[in-house]
Amino acid sequence: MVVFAGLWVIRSYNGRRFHVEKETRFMMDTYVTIYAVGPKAVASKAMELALNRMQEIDIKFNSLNPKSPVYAFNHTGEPISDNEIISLVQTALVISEESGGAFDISIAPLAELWGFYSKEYYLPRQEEIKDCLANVGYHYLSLDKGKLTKDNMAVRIDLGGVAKGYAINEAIKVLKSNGVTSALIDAGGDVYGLGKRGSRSWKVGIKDPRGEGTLGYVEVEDLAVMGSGDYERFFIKDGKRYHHIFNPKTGYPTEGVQSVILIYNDPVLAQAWTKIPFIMGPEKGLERLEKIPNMDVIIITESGETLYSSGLKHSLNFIK
Amino acid sequence: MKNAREKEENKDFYQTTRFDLIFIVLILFFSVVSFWVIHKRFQPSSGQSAVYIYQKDKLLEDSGLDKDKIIAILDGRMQFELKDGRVRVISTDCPHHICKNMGWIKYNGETIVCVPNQVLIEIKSEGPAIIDAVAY
Repeated sequence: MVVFAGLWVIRSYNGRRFHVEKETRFMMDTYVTIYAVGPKAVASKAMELALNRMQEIDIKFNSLNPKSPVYAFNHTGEPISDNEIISLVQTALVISEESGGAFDISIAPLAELWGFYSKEYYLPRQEEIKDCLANVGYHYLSLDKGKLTKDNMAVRIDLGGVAKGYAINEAIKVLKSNGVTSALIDAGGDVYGLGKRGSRSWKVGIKDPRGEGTLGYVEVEDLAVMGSGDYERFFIKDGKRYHHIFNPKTGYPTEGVQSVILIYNDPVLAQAWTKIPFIMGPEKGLERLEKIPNMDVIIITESGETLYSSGLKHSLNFIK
Repeated sequence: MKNAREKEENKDFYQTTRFDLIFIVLILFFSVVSFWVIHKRFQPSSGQSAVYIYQKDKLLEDSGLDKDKIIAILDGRMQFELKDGRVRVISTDCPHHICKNMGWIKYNGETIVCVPNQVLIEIKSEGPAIIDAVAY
């Protein structure tokens, strides 16, 4: 009896310790769900603060929100001096340099021209794209003494390619500082696994971009699994698919890649680099990403072929 | 004489008492319960799946996935197809149709979200989740 009583006490203690709290909120043009493991009171409070922080970032970094300094920068040219935005722009500009201009936060005029902001999709003429490209290019942006300015008033920025990763990063900091060491954040298909779920790693499925279900799953611990796909936002005109990931050099949506999943410890960098294989092409993109230590990637090409980085090939698990 | 007394003492020692019986019944009871708990805990989660459809945390519809059917919500503005243990959005009035483009979901914990309509579709089933989230 003593043994059974002991087992019951251990079970109750573990039940409390490994209790999973869950909350979903709509923000950043998607949903965010946090699963936090721990005593109910601790997990609930930490989750609420983390989601509040993500909503704060959503407002501040959203170029379509009139309350954001980014909106003012785009529409009136008012320089940005907010430290948090400056720091993220700096990171984005470094990635632009390192990717040879494939990643560019100044593609906002293109996204607007194609109707991805107004949701009234439009297939622009060649001349319109050419005119628009005159106002696209991160080299128009200057960062000096903590201020972001632009040389060309028509240049606009969109931090959507890094802001979600930044929001996830900040949420993780909030969770940790409030006593949560085990959690999963799912921000509309961009996922971060903090610590472990009890005795096992977090299992993150990889969506099959054209088929149903998943290609398999990876087990992660203190890692982000970030994705980009041509199926997220697109329209079809005359039988052709036009999606929201643009090549900043041609002004057209990219071709050759359906989806990219990237596994890395930094969600900001992971989110930004997911765009690179779309723009560079699957083979060159894979080659470039393989040069970043500890970064793993899955690329699904237009023809449905799956390319894996060398480190990942053996760690994708299949669901029976 | 001595041997006979020893035999008698041994007989008393090996005789089943009421306490022994209670102990055996308890062991049998906990063995059966443990077997049942372990069996239930490690059952494949695809067994008893159901879909739950929420709008702003309010449950609008729920249904087992063992029967094929169509579910409509928001006065028919969104429709879902339940087929072969899976679910997908088949019609929606939202502008991007991202939820419709997500295709089928079937695993425990998988979700489809329609942001403009603030609708969350989630699969829940008994047993441990095969995956915790899906990246896309």
